[in-house]
Amino acid sequence: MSTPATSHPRTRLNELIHQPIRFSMMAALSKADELEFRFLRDTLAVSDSVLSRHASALEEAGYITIRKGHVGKWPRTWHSLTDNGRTALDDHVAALRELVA
Amino acid sequence: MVTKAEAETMLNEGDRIAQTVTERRPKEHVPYVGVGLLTALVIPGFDLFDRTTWGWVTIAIAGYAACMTYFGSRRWIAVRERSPQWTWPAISVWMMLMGVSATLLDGHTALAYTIAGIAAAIPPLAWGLRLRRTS
Repeated sequence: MSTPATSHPRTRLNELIHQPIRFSMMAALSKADELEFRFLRDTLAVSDSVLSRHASALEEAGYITIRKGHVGKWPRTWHSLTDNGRTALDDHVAALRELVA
Repeated sequence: MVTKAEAETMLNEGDRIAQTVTERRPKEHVPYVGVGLLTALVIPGFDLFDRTTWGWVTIAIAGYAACMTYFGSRRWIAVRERSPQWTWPAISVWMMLMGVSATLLDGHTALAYTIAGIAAAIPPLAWGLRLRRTS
């Protein structure tokens, strides 16, 4: 019996996460509780507006949370991965690994 | 359509980014081990030099200042790692209990502050070493 088409790893890729910047962002967030906006921007080598746009998309999907606060008098923004986001990232990475194998 | 090469590139990039974050992650065990060592090394000295509570106050202020300096560092602000919220309050309560015990024991034994200092240092040292091992 042939394997159903839906079981192919390609069909399990998450389109939202598959965008390279969003994938890198989630990979970075998977390694810390929270990452500060400027650290993420510099690590991913993107502009403020690009990072904000992708962060908003991930937040809308419930994959990350964005928290605003202050360090001294300076405003800061921290990003963190939600449980849903971690699960989605793990599934996406698993599908990519299957594709590579 | 995602090709095998594209998937491989993506995985490699994800690994590279994750590695960068891991390298720049704050060493969370540092403030715990620092406070533990400070307590273990300085408090026993009160048996020899100063038996007043001012010594405890000095240690508390020095420990607090060191922790705040560390927590305010760029590394800590950029990449946050958090222990369970109860660790610092629990350690503080334990240290206060040891301080009271040392004061009560003082006069009954020549090693009151040595015993209390070492006992007070055990929780932060143990937690710090645990974090170091697991991070």
